[in-house]
Parts: sequence; C-alpha cells; structure tokens
Amino acid sequence: MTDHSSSHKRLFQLASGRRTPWLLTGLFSLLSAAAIIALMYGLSIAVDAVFMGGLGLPAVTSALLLIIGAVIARGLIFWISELVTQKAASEIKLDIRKRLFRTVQQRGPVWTETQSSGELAATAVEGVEKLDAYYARFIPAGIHMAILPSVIAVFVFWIDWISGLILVVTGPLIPVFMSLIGMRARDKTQKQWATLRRLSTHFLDAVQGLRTLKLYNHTGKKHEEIEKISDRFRKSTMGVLKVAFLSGFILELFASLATALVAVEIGVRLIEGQIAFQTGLFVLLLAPEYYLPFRLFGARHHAGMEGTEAASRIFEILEDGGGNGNEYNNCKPSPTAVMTTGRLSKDSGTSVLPNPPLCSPMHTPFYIQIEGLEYSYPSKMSPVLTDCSLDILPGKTTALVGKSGSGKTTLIRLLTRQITPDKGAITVQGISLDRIEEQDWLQSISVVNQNSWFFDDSIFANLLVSRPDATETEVVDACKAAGAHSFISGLPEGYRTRTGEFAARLSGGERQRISIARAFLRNSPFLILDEPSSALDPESEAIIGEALDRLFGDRTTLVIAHRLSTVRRADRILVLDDGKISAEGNHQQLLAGCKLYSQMAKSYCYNSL
Amino acid sequence: MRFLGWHRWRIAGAWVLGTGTILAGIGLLASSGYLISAAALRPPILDLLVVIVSVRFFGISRAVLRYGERLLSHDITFRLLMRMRSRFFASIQALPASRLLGYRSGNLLSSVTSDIDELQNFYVRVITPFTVAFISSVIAFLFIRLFSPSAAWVTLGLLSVNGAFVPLLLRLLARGIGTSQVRLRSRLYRLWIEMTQGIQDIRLYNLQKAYNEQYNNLCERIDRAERRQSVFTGLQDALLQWTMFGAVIVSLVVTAPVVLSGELEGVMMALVIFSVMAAFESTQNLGSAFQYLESTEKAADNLFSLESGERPHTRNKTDGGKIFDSINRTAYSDNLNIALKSKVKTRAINRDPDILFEKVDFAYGRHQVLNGIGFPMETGSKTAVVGPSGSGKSTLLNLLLRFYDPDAGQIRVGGRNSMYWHPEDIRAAISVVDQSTYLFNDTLRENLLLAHHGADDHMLLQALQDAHLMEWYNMLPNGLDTYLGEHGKQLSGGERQRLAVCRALLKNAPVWILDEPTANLDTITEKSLVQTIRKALEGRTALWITHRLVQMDYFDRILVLEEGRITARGRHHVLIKKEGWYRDMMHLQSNLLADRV
Repeated sequence: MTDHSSSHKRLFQLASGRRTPWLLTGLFSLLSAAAIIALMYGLSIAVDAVFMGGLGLPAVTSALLLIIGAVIARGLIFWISELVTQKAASEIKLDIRKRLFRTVQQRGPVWTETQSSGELAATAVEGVEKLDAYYARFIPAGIHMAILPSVIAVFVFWIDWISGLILVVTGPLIPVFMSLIGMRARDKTQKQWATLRRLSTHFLDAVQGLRTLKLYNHTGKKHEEIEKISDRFRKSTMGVLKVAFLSGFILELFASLATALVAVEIGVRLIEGQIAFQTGLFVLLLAPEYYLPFRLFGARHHAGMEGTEAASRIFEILEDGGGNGNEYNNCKPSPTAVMTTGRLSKDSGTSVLPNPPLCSPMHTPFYIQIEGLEYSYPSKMSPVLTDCSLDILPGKTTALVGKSGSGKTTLIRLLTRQITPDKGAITVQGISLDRIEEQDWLQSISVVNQNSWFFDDSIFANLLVSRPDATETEVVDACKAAGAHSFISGLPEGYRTRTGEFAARLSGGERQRISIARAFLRNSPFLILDEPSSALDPESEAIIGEALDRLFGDRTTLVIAHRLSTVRRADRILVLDDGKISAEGNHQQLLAGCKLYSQMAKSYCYNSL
Repeated sequence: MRFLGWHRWRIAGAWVLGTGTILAGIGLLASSGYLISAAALRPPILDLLVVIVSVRFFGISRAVLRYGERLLSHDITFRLLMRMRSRFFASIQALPASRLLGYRSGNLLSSVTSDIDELQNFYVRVITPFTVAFISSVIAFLFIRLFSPSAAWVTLGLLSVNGAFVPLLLRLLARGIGTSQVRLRSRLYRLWIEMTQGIQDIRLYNLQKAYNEQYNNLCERIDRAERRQSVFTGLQDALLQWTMFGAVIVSLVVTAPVVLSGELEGVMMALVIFSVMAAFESTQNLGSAFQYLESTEKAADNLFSLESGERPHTRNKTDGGKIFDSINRTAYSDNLNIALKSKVKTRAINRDPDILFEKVDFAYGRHQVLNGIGFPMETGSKTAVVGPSGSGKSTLLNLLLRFYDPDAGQIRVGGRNSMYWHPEDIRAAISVVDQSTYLFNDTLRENLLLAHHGADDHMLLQALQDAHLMEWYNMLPNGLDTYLGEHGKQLSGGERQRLAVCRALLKNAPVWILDEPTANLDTITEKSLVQTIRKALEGRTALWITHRLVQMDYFDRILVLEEGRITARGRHHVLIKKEGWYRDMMHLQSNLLADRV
C-alpha cells in the first residue's frame, strides 16, 4: 500500500514535472494581489474624498477609473489563470490515463485476472478525475495562499506597521492551528469515511440479497438493522466531526477576529489622530482579502485529500510488482515497466532477441515439442509445472486431462506466450518459440473457450476479429459449421445485432459456439480448446460435439478436456498430475493403466448413469 | 422534496444558522466601516464603545454560527440518508423478488443505491445554499435600503445576476461540453472494461494497437473538452468578480451625491460600501449548488424512471408496488398483509403439507408463461420438472413461493388455496436451493443463522457436516466468525452451493424446492452435491427443476414442461418408452456417451 504522504509526494512530483503552469499561477497571484491593492486604494481614495473632503464625483474620476481598471484586470487574471491550471491538470490526467492503460496491457491476462475489471476502470476514469480537483483547485489554492497574503501583508506593513503586525502574526497561526487540529482528527475522520463507504456497501448487500432475505422471512430484521447501524454511525461520526470542524472554526474565528481587531485598533488611532482616514480605510478594506486565500485553501483541502486517496490506488496499479508475469510479450518493455516488475533478471535473456525473428507464415500442420517446462507464479511458493515434457503431434488431437490445479491452464498460458517458462523450452518445428515473432505465432493459433469476449459492436464485427478480411458468406458458413447460425439468425437483427445486452444473455453453450465459429473463420493450423468444466444441457452438448468434430479435422489440436465425449474424440490422451505428465495413451489403455484417469473417467460417466 | 419534511425543525435551524453566518459577516464589515468613519470625526472614545463591542460580537458569532451550521447540516445529511435507505428498502422489498434477480437488475440496484447516495447531497448542497442566499440577500437588501435605496436595488439586482444569472448562463453555454464529457467518460469506462476482460482475445487477435489508438484518442478528446470547458469556468470566475465589484462601484457612485447633498450622513458611506461587498458572500457558492442540482436531479430522475419502468411488469397482486412509491403506499400494503394474516391465519400450515397445482395460468405481461398446469405433490414425494430452457420451469417455483400469484387456477398448500396463506407462512414451510444463493458480506455464522434464528454452534456445525463442508470449514481462519467477503467471492461454486444446502438443512422445512442446484458446477462436484441433497431429502416433499437428465429413476414423478404446458408425465421407465422430448433428450445424451466405460 502506498500511504498518503508518499502519494502526496508522488502527485507533487508529477506536478513539478511541468514548471510553467505553476510559475504562471504564482505570477497571476502576484498580479491579482497588485490588482486588489490598486482596487482598494482607489476605493479608499474615493470614499475619503467624498466623505472627508466633501468633493463631488468629478474629483474622484481618476480613482474610479483605477477601480474599474483593477476590477477588469482581476477578472481577466482569474479567467486566464483558470485556463492555465486546467490545461496543466488535464495534461497530467491524460498522461496518467495513458500510462495506466499501457501498464495494465503490459501486465497482461495473468495479472488482470487477479483484479476486478470494474474497479480498474473506475480507477482510470473516476479516480483519475479526482486528481482534477487536486491539480486544478488544491495546488493553485496552495500557491495563492503562499503568495497573495504575503504581498498584502508586506504592503500593509509598509503603509501602517501596526495593522501589518496584526496580519503577520495571525495569518501564519491559521495553518499552524489548522494542521494541529487536522492531525488529531485526520485519522479518525478517514476511518469514519471508510465506515461510511462500508455502510453503503452493506446497504447494497442487503438490497442485492433481498430474495434470499425473503426466502428466510428475514427482511424485517434486516430493515431494523439498516436503521440501527446507520444511526449508530451517525452518532459516532458526529462525534468525530465536532473535532474535525474545529479547524474550520479556528480559521473563521481568526479571520473575523483579526479583521475586528484591525478595525478597532484603527478606530482608536483615528480618534487620537495618529492615522489618516484614507490609510485606515485602505487597510481595513485589505484585511478580509488577506484572509481569503486561507479560507479558500481550507475549503479545497478536502478535494485535495480525495485526490491523494485516489492517487494512492493509481500508483499502486502503476507500480504493483506482484502477481504479474507478463514481461515476455513486450518486445520493448518501457523503462517504467521493467523497473517496477521486479522480475527483470529472469526475463532479460529472452525479451531481447539475439537473432532476427523468424517470420514464416505457418500454414502447415506443425509439430510442437515441450521439454522440461517449469513454471511458478510469483504469488505462489510451489511451482505449478515441474519438469513437464510432452509432444503435440501434427494433425492429431491431443487431450490433456488432470485435476483442477494440475497446471493445465498454465500450459495454455505458456503456449500462448502470456507467461514465460522459468525453465525448459517450447519448440515449434524445431524452432524455439521465443525466436518466433509473437504476432506470427499468435496468428497461427485459435483458442476456443467459454469465456469468449465481445466488444461493443455487431455480432458480425465480433466474428470478423478472427479474420478481418473474411466475406459475409464466409462468416455465415463458419457460424453454420459451428452450430451458431440458427440462434444468431433467430435474433431480430440477425448478424447486425449489437452485442452488449446480447452477450450478457448468452448461455454458456452459445458462447462456446461463437468461439468455435471464430476458430472456423481463423482456420489456423494449431487449435487450443479449453473445455468448460460445468455440464451443459444435452441439446447444446450434442450441437457442440458435432461442431467440434468438424473443427478438429486434420488440425493440430490440444484439448483441455472435461468431457468423456471429448476425450474419446482425441487421438492421444495425456494425464497431467502434479505439474508433469504422469501417463499417456488412449482411453482404453489409460483406464487399465492409470488409476487417476480411471477415477476421473468414472465421475465423467456420472453424466450417463 | 418530501424527505425534508422529516426533519423540518433541524433544517430550519440550519437555515437560520447559515443566514446568521452571512449576516454576521455583513455586520462585521459594516460595523467596522462605520467604526472607522465615525472615529475619523474624532468623537470621545466612549461614544464608540457600542460599535467596538458589536464589531467583536459579529467577529466571534460569525465563526460560531458557521461551525454550528456545518455540524447541523451534516447531522441532517446522515439522518436523511438513513431515512431514504430505510424507505427505499421498505418499498423495494415489496417488489416481486423474482424481478430482483439476474444480471441487469443487479447492476440496476447498485446504480440505484448510488443514486440514493447522490440524493443526500440535495439538502446540504442544493436546498440550503439557495435558501440561505435568498434570505440573506433579502435581509441585506432591506438593511442597505435604510441608508441608500438606490444602492440597495443595485445590489439586489447584481446579487441575483451573480447568484443565478451567471451560473445559469454559463451552464447553458457549456452544457454541450458537459454532456459530451459525461458521454466520453462512460465510453472510456466501457473501453477499459472491454480491454481488461478481453485482454486475452485482444492479444490473440492482434488488436492492441487498435485499442491503444481508440483509447488515446478518447483521452485526448476528454482533454480537449475539459480545456474548452475551462474557458467557461474561467469566464464565470471573472463575471462573478465583475458583478460584485460592479455593485460596489455603482453604490459608490450613487451614494456620493446623496452624501454631498447631506441626505445621507457621511459616516454611513463606508458602511454601505462594506455591506455591499459582504452581501456577495451569500451567492458565492451557488455555482456549485447548480452543479449539484443537476446531478441530484439526474439521480432523482433515475429513481423515478425506474418506477415507471417497473409498471408493465408489476403483475402480482400481493407483493406489488413500485420502487419509489410513497411511503403511505408501502405502509398500506404492509397493513394489508397484516390484515390478511390476522384474518386468515386461523391455523398454521401443518407439519407436512401436500401441495396441489390446479389449472394454473400465468403470464408476464402479455407473454403467457404457464398454461393450465396441474399436478399433485403428495407428502414425501419427489417431483422433477424437466424441459427446454424458457419453458416456464422457474416460474413454478416463484408461484409456489408467492413471489407471484397465478392469473387463473390455484395452488393448494395443505389443502388450502395459497392465496389465503400469508407469503411468510408459505416461505417458512419451504427450503429453496437454487443457483442464485446470495451470501452476505458477513460472518459465516450470520449467513447460516439467517436460516434458523437462535441455532447454536453445535447445530451449525452439524449442518455443515451434513452438507459435506467440514473439510472446507476446517480451513477457515476464524471458524464460524470468518467473514465470507463481498458476495462470498472467495468461495468456489461448489462451496457456495453446499452452503445453500446447509442453509436449507438448518431451516429444516418439510418441502424443498431445487432449481438446478448444480448448474455451473463441474461434474465431480455435481455428483457429490447431488448425493448430499438426496440424503437430506429423505422423508421430505421435493420439487426439483433441472435441464439435465441424470439418474431420473429417483423421482416419483417427472413432468415435461414445454412452452408452458405439461406435455408428458410419469416415472422414468414410462417416459423413456413414449415418443417425445424426454426420450429424444435421453437418446441424445446416451449417444454422447455411447460406448461406455
């Protein structure tokens, strides 16, 4: 976890990467101070002339012009200042968003799986948005607080040192007292906000579980609980806020009391004739302006805190070293990615290609050899694969069976180069896999599974991804072969139906059929089938079985099998146990010779009992 | 908003404090201005003591009032949030629970709850600033009018420009940009989801570049939109300055002649100028109030559109209700239920009720789901309902549980029309195991006690054992006090389903309904779970809904449901000999598993 102060520091570093906007903001602060001084000077001159001098408006024309000029200038400064800070904030956000996207892509599927995609997206969209308040509001307010009051104080000091002294003494006390109180209250306040969020989750939990609550006649009790918890929370929060709001109270109190003090002190001296009315009025007009930046900063402080909170999650994603394992697929990992992954040493040998990559299109059935593969996930102690060796024969179907956790999925990940083996080698037609250009390799693979993914476009476009130059008839033919045509054409808009809602309603069997259709279209020489472990209804099973028969053909195929029917379709069966291949043969041979296999086969057969 | 009525005295108090804060600010500056003007005429200091005291008084009271106002506002916010949640829960629980399932409604609910969170802002950030600005502007106007009516009118006019006209104008000017930003951000969000969920396929189909381009493009468009927007927010800042000091300049110009002519005492001039300046504090925050108005409006719209969106589906007559119906209505339906209960609950459902469906018809809206369904479930019998998906199997369950009531025909429970039983009594007599078992973000103990209040640890452990969960249980770090986490995410499908069985065991109801309890489980887990359930079912009445035909000879009666009608019924060995869906499916299944082990 990145804590608050360090994410503060990092946010600051990002800001200091661009000096100009903040220097400009400082300049605007100075100009704005000059404008407000001119404005108040003009005002005091005009009032003095009318009230004390008994002069008419024509006599104060120049003072009026000064006021008008200063007001216009001040407005313009505000305007331009907003443009500059927003530009800086937007650029920083743009930069962070791009970096986040890149980082997550580089982390790859193995890392993404450990994350909630909704939370990642929310961090990149809303979380980054919170930085806007930090850069466009909080930091400028800080700069203003540093510059504006100092300029005004120096100026007041110059024309009336007694009032100046009051300002100089009270001003710095505000941040001091505020931070004293703030420090005491901050942890508690943060804890309370965290509870507030939990409360909202608790409520959502109750609402989503309503059906279950009803089934157990438990709604009334839950209802009471919601009220009770909320009320208890309110009481405890109010206790914390009483302290937390004290810092705002101190701010207001100092600002108003000091203004009152200045007024009284000037009044007394006026009676004694120690100060001119115009000077007194001028100073009194400036006093509230002196405290304004402090109040503004106080008001924006919360937004700033929210920004740092969001930032800590953002930096966590950008820097998270654990749980990945996917540096392999970047030919040129960006320096940041390499620095933060922490597994550099392991991969440095493979990610830089010593020889020119082999780029031959591979459209012949090919022979894949896996030798002594070893792999362990960074987050886990014991290796998943230990000395795993197998051959995938050209034009044949090889089925891989094994208990869950035996390393089947890891093997697919290695073959699709999502991860790099710790030891051992994969060779294709005798050529080491890491010497083949990644895209060329991926081009020659089709993966069929139940989790096919859809982007928000028509079904047609979603099928086309597997072969962008396919014609409409080819797409339809592929769907027919996959047994997907009937349910797609049954939709109101057929192949033009947008995914989105449709994808959410698809059953597991239908998803699988679309995945098969993609594989037909791609028509690649190597096919990987990752069968879902849950059973489908008999109708879907039958349709998919036929489609697979057509798809396998003479293709080199690797199947992660969960079905007896699929296993029987295979030419060879390999049993994966404890990270290595423990037995090999056909169905009958294994039933007789492998205890693990016959156990599993029995439970597969449960289907037919 | 009717929520505000609940705490009207507190709210009025917050308004008084808020207005007081601004008035104290005006008082502070006005009395200060008066003080130094009067002092300039060099009267004896005693004459000014009252003014000096009031300057201090306003200085202190301003801070105190602000503090009080902030505390009170937050207190009200929390109270409102509680009331809104509580009421929302009351009205949503009156909805048919079968509508609260599924993918879309899950999302819907989470957006509704965040809408409620948004609505809590309505009071503190919308209503209060407007009211306070209005009241204090009027009082400032009346005060300044005592000295200079023309300055007062100018101030009032520019206050309304500053507080209402400028924010509205700018919102209008920047509206297109604002909505396009919202749209762009939600596209960005979707793109992220797509990229993370499809990351494997994106790689496989070599789409990274396309995605990067699309993403960068979108981000840059957001960047440009934000910068265009800043032109308007900057303009707003400038305009606010201009109107405020415009009022000061005009006040100066209009008071000067009256001071010279002697109509207004000169000492009042500074007072007027300071009051005008301080009066603008009241409208300072209305810009953000307009922003919140928009977002809370949107939230309220969502909640109400939800209400109207529900209408066509709200078919049921017992639990009916719209999500954001008035509280009275909820109270009414509760009363109705209680009335019904007191009237009809002359006897409890007997220990082992038999159940009889008689010519039951049911439609969702226009879509006819069930047609003349009739079958008995004798005490202790096991009934299976099979058929293609979408044939209305799950609706049977919802009808029996009285999440809906039949349009025609009746369901007799223990010899009496189920309409005359209170839904709670019926649900108390039935255990349900379906695929949508919800696990609360609470401890294992609480999740189990739900099914049997007051069960002791020994009973819970026994149930866990009977559900074959002991191995899993022994690995939990804190035993029964282990938190299951959000939606029980850490649990595997098999464990979740076992917990569902465990709950059903604890409930110990005479009738069990099982709706594809083994869907989404791998076959090994499926097999052992089915064995567990069958053991639990010994001596009980059961209705088992399934689309997979496994070990069907277990059932006393199999109903084949196709398109809302029972097309065949009987035991396995009878049905397998008849032509029809059942035999076709059985053949299909055994073809798949042809040459046996």
